[in-house]
Amino acid sequence: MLISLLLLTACSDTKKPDNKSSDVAKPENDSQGLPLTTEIPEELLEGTPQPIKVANLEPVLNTAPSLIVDKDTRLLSRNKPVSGSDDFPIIGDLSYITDGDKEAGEGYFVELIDGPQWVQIDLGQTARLSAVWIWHYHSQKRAYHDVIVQVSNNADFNDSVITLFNNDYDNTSGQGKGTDQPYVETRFGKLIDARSSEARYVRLWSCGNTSNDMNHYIEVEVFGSAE
Amino acid sequence: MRRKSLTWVGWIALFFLAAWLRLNNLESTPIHADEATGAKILSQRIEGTGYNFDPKHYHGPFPSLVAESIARLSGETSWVDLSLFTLRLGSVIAGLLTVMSPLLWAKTVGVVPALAAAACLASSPLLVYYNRIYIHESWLLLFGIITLAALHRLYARKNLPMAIISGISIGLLFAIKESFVLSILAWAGSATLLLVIHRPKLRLHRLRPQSLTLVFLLVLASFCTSSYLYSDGFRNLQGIIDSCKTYIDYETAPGHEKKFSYYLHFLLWPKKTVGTLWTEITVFALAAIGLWRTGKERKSGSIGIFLATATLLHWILYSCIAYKTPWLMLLPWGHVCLLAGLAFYNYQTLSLTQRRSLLLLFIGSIGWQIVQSREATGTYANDERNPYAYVATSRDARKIPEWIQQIQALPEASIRQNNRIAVIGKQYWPLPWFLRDFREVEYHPIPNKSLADYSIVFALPEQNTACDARLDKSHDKFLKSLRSNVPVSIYLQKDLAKAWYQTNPQ
Repeated sequence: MLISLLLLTACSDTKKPDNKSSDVAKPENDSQGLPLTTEIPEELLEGTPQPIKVANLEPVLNTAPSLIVDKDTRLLSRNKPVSGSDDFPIIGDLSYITDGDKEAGEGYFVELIDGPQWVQIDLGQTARLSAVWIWHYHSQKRAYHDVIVQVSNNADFNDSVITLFNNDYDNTSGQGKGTDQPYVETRFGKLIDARSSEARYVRLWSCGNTSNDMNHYIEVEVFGSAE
Repeated sequence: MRRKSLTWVGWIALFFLAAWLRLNNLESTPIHADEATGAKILSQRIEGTGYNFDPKHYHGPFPSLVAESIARLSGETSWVDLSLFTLRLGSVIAGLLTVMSPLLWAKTVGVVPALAAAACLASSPLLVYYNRIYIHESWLLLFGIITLAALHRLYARKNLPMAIISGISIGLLFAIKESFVLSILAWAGSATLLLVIHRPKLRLHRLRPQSLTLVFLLVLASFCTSSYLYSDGFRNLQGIIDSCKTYIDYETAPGHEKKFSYYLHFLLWPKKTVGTLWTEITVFALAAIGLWRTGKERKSGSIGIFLATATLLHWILYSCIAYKTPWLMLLPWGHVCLLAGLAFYNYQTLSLTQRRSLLLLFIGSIGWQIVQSREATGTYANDERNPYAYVATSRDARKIPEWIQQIQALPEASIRQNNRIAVIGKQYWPLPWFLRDFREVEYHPIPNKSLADYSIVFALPEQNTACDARLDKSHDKFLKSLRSNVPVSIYLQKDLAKAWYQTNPQ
């Protein structure tokens, strides 16, 4: 059954952009879970593509990533308030992060200043989280440094912090050393398993990328279930 | 008296504006690859190993000679001691003197045009950006302007001291960068045009012996100056021969080939990135007005035509060469700034409306240039979207020394007999700057057989696959940005990586 679901997901990933998949997970059967799907933006590579020649990065995706989630999973983050360590982004607005637009190019991304910076989504209530799906920037092949995804019920992230992903191997951000691998940005985004964590706030860190020192977000989607 | 005082206030204000733009957060931009190679050459001098000019890889010795003096005054006596501030201070000084250099033209063209030219030089984002970087072109621009002023005086006065001063200045130009010959060609072409315009009946046999003596003295002074500097004070005479061989032997790095229109697009074509509209076209417009204003005058007209022709010839010569970098435009653009000042030549003869329009354009230009200069040297100083940033170093690379120090402080590392570091690949600069605190660093173009024995291995992108194959079982791999779109892979021996993760885990 699981293999069938994965095959089904793989097939759906090859859809053309105008044949977008739904951004709300729908049950396809009555078993334990279903593959999480979302709207995948069109490919837009600006300028001369710069190949990232780092062999042990996670393999570059050619299809959307897949994750089996509970059947009552839905998108919780759409239009939810976003705050950040950089209150005045250089380009764009923090609200872009949850506005549903995942297109590349000018006008769709928010740019935060250099150095370790974070953005934080307030889901409004505690929820059981299934996944966090991130698009930093996908109109150029690049890898972001020191990506950390944390969830918590504490808005200040002082305690009860659960780290879902961390590739900050040298502890630049002071959140502890992470062993996850860096990855190249694509239009398919980065899908992170939230492991059914109970949390209201999602905080995402980064510290520049292989093209420049700035921090960017196009969209972040948080999936889960809430009462 | 009041007018004179105001003039001096203007010069002082421009000096402080130029200093503020050039010195503010001077060390904030990470060291450029070319600065790091320059710093390594400088370290020969300050460590007392002597200066040996390398015709394949070096430019002229003069900037490192000045930097040596600054380093000694700062008490920095080795490659490890050198600070970025000290390294860059020489270029800043050259930039400030360049801003003041129109004083040399004030008697000829008037104080107001000289002040206007100084304002253009002080605020130009191109000049501000590269006056903050340890490269040769800042000095080339300064002595280019000084040479022009000296040659102009020599032409007017035809006296011996001015011939010697002109010769020394040309010799210094050679001792700064071999590309000075392009400027000599451009100036010779411009001078020829002026002779054709003003002296159509000039005959070479009419040249007086005194003129030939002055030319001889000029060439002699030039040769002696450049030879003295290339031979490290005549201690290494091979340097004199090598200074000529460099025109044949110099090896340019690949990847800088650009189309003919590159410089036009770079400096004049408006580009909107990171919230800023980048272009220096308004100063170019002022230069066009300067040419128009002086064109009818015989005395100043010669200067206007000369500067305009020299700019054009510089531009064509540099555009014809496939190898192009932004900083090569410093000297040609200096000509444009001087010409822009001439827009105010005899401004009293303009109507009130013309005067107001010109003043508006000038103030707008300077204001816009200051904004661009601040943006170019601020947050986006090393960002590829900043048109002045070229193959800039990532701020991420600055974290490398601290991380290695933390690794080497681990008990697992300190008990070892060696903690060798290898850098695999060719285009690794400015990595040596970041690794200068560590003794056992080796540089290899390709992986060697004992690669797995190194505690830490840095691999440039072209050597990733080869290093992956050799280090997959012995090392863990990490990622750092070295330059824009040039990530460097870092391999750390597995036992050290394990120990590293055990300290302060997530």
